[in-house]
Amino acid sequence: MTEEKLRSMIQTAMNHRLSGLREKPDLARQIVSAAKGETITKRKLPLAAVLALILLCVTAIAYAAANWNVLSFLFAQDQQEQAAPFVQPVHAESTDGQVTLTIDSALCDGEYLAFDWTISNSQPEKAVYPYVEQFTANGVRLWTDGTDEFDQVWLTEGWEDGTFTELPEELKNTEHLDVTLIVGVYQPTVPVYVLSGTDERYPLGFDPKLALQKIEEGYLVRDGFDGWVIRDDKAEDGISVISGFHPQESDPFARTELALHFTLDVSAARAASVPLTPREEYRMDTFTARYQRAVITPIGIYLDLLLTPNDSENESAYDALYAGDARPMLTDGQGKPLKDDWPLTGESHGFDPREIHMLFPGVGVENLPDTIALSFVRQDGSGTANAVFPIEISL
Amino acid sequence: MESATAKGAASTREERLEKLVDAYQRALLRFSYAFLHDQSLAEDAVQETFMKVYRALPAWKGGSEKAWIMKIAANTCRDMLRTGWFRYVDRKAELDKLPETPVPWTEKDDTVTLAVMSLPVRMREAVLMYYFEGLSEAETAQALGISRKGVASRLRRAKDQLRQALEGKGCDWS
Repeated sequence: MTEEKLRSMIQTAMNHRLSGLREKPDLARQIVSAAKGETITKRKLPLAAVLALILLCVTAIAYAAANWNVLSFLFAQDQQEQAAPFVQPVHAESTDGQVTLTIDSALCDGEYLAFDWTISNSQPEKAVYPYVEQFTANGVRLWTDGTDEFDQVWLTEGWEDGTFTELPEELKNTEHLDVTLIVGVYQPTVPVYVLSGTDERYPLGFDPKLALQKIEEGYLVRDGFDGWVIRDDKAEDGISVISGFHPQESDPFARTELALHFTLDVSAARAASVPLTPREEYRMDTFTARYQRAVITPIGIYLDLLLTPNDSENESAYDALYAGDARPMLTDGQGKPLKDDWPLTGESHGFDPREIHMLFPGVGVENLPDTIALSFVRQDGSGTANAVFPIEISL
Repeated sequence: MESATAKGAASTREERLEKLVDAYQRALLRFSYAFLHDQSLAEDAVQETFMKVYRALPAWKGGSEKAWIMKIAANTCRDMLRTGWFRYVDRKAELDKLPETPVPWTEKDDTVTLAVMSLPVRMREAVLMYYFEGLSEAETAQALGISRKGVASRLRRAKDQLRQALEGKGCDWS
């Protein structure tokens, strides 16, 4: 498939299939009116959707006490009940007077640590550059998945989200976690110039001459994305873009610090976890599958499957497994899906056909049949499972 | 004199916005729908995008207009994905709830569109910009705020996934 053919196929398909979406004939006028302080047309949801959302919100409030918390971050509304008793209040807040970081609650099942966070900048016109300088539990470094994070970006107003991270192996048997989060908040000490516009000749999309000129004039020059521009005599254009780096002392920033610390008792959640006992291996025609992790915790059911080709030379060992756009799903022993929810992990691990890491949130042992399985179920409408890897549940 | 100048500038700005809305509203609506999987949210995203465009117009220095607008649209869609209530919305890609289309579509159109919409977000936005909106690799990099190498990597992985999703389903992949 050539690039041009693929582009044509996608454009044709989407332009046909999405042609029912209607433009607003007076959108420009609405925008201008809103910009001048008049009311803009708000989202028009169908009445049923509005009622459903209201119902969801009311129910969520019952669980979440109207706050953004770890349950609302991690789960859909109907998945929260099982984990709710294991949520530990944190109520941590740190501020430097302009930027405030709060954590409401946390949840740890011995496999993953999750907590919500809300970050806000009370002076949106003064964007700051937060950088997470320490994120540890019991002194061991933790990692985030690198998405939806507040660090290494220019923070204007702020937002709420959360962190969901797998514990390193050395922490998976500990009873207590002392979590420390230290964020350096970097405020420019010189006037800021934000580059915009584009120059097709330049891959970063802005005019390097203008950037250099503004640097010479004493500005901190933002590249229009998440970084800033410095003078670099060795570079062809005389500049380099700093992105994703820790600001150095030589950079024109003043640093303030946000420090949050909280302790979690993992014992209750760990005691409530139920390890499953899969078969040692599942030998198929062209590959062999082995569960690397199979456990039910208050967060959900973790199923990690490793596939190994029976013949290492066989490049199509998994073709039959993924035929029909099959994807791994939680099923009963016959391959019938138990839940069609999106897994909490899976996509974030990228697409490696040999390693499947799935976490089905909010699944409790009491709601499961005697045999469950990670099955590869076709998404072609047939509902057929290409392969079933059953685990008998014996409590 | 001062106010007359400002009034004149505002008028030009409104005319520019009108032209941009005419030129890009349809594409942005389809882009946002494929990104967010929800018609109402997509309409909101388009409205929000043009609001940001209107505010930013005076500071815009020129260049690839489409890449600039797509960047704003992608950031707007990402922000919407970050919101708490979005977690309560069914994120599965589906097309059944769309209004009736004025042009006939085939089963292949349906399959391809769903395959694109089902890609992980990072691959999806790259595919939408590069293949669907027709931006160049450099423009896509600019709009996504990543390197060209990053764009190539995302597109490569996305193409792999699309191939697996589409091959043998009425789509000639040769």
